[in-house]
Amino acid sequence: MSKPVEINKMIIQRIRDSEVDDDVRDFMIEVLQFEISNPKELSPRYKDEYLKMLQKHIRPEKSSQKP
Amino acid sequence: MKIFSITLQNYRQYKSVKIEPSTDEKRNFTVIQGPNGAGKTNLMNALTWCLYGIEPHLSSDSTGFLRANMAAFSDLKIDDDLDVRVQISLGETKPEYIIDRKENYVKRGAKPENAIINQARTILFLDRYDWKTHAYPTSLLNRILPEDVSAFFFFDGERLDEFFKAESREKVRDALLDVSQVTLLDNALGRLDGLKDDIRRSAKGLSSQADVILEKLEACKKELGGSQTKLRGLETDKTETIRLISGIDEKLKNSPRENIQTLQNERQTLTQDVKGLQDETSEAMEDLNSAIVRFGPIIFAKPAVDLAINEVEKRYKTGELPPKIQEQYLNDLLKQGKCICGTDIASHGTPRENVERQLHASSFSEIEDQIREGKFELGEIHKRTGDFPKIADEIGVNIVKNSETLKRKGDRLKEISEILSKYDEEEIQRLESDRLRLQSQKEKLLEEIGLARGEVEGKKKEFASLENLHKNELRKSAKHAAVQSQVDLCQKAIASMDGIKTNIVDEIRKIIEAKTKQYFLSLIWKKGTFVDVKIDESYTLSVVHKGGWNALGTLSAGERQMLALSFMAALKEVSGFHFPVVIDTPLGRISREPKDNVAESLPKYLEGTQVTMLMTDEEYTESVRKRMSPRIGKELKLEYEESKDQTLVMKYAS
Repeated sequence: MSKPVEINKMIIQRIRDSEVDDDVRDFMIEVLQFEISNPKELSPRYKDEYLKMLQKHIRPEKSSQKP
Repeated sequence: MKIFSITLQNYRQYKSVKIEPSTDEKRNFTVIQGPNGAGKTNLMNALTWCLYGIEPHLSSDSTGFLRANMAAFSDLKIDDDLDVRVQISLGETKPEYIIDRKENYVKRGAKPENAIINQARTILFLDRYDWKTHAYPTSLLNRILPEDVSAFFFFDGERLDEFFKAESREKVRDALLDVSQVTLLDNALGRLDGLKDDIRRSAKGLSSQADVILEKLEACKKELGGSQTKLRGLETDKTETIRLISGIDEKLKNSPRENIQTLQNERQTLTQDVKGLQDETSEAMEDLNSAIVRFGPIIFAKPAVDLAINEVEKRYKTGELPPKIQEQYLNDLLKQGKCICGTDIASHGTPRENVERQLHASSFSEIEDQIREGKFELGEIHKRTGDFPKIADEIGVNIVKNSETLKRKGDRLKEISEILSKYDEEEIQRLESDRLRLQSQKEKLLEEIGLARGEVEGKKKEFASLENLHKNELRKSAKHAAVQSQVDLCQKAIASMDGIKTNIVDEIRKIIEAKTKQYFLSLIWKKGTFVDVKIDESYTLSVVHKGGWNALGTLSAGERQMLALSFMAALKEVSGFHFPVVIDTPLGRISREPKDNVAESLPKYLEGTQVTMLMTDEEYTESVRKRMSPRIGKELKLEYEESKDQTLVMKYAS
């Protein structure tokens, strides 16, 4: 196929290699995989999908963090 | 991805034509030769119209005409209809997709403009043995042949010459961003930002203070968006103004008056120099600023560092350093003749030798090492403060030198403008006065862009500070903190993705720089005249002359075309898309000998890519044909029949 899989792969690899917390890294990878596999026509549904992904990756201790 | 066939029906001068380019891996070139006006450019238009509904290669005097073949349209009776249709069959090893665009004309009167037009595009895909209509044609096309990079695959060789003429920086940047396909990251970034706003809004009503800040935050974001739109608008206006100035310069350069041409040439060189000097000066100012930031804390600490060095050296001289405590203690043991463990060490022998060895080793004690390191570090800091005046002086000297040259060249530019504006010829005077007006418009725009940039930066800072305030407010209670945790995760992901995007674009810039250089230096016939091609961080492309200066502004039309071909070949290679390439008049601006060189070298850079070249007989000479022959899989010829207003596609015969 003609799609630029190399660049998509490069982006995902960069995220894997990035020095960020695991929850941020996993969240980013899931978001990008969603973007790669979903056509733009499905975009109205993105908000629910993004929120689900976000809530999945929030660390429980962070949610209950106190000031 | 290859084109297996292009079928045109009633499209402009093509009544009914099917073209099947070569799909051979080795003989990957198809040449379609035709005289001017035979329909080469309209073949390109048919391709882009079918795929994207656009005809970017249409000449300005043809834009008002119907796409329908005029002879076929004239033959219609009132209320009869006619289909204009282009079909492209695409695939890797066999046809996998058929892109079909159809426009239906219903004749309502003698005048074509009264026709009723309905347009539709469908994409069929091969599902095992059946052709089916694709549900998401735009998405599919964006995956296989995206419109934003299509300009690097379907292009007009003659217009390529304009690519590096004026304000190429914006064009290079846009090309790099398009080819990097960071739209994936851009989509995700935009959506994450929207999600972050939604989450913040969901916390509304939980704290009055947080609500007040949120209101300010949203207002600030709106203002920031407005400032960014304004800045983009100004940048577009600037590019357009520069393009217009460049057009006038070209007309003045071609003026019959010899002295006008000379002055015009001088002005172009001076303008190029001034731009280079302005860029260098702003870079030097940035260097100076970063040197101040880098050296500031060290310079501030200099008196303390100097005092510390003096104190350490004084103590070394007096023997207080390095510390002798351990040495003194061991000396006392040797003097007493009794070790700490009770062993007799008064007489010579192994126990005494052991203690003596310890004494020797103690001079390299850990404490002493630390002191040595500390002393060394202090010395280094001291040395570094000494670098600053030298660096600042060097940068300062360059800035002053540049300012002087800029003033001199600026004065000469004004002088030339004055001389040119005094010429009698009406046309020259008009052009000159237009140029002066555009020049002052450009200066004004540059000033406004500076202010708009400042405004955007200010708004960004204000926004960041409000985000922080809102965050602190939400952190005050556990319920709000949960919301803030979600916002934090979004923010961290946004920051990280943004950084990755910058890195990827930068990496791709470097690869394209290296490939453009490699191709250009091998295509160019003046071997040794140019030594380098650079694309710097601000996307400024320069061709380095062996004398060390940027020769981009002085390249001939043919050289510019070769540079653009090299850049396109590099973009094509880096993009990761295996597109078919179609080039209209690829050798149009290139003279005989270099033409042969390009005909021989270009196929090497486009190996394995299906290439269709639309050439005039002046381009497709016997010599070019001979050089390209090992790579040519098909040769076709266009013949225009004026009486029938139609072009036929025939087998090429030399």
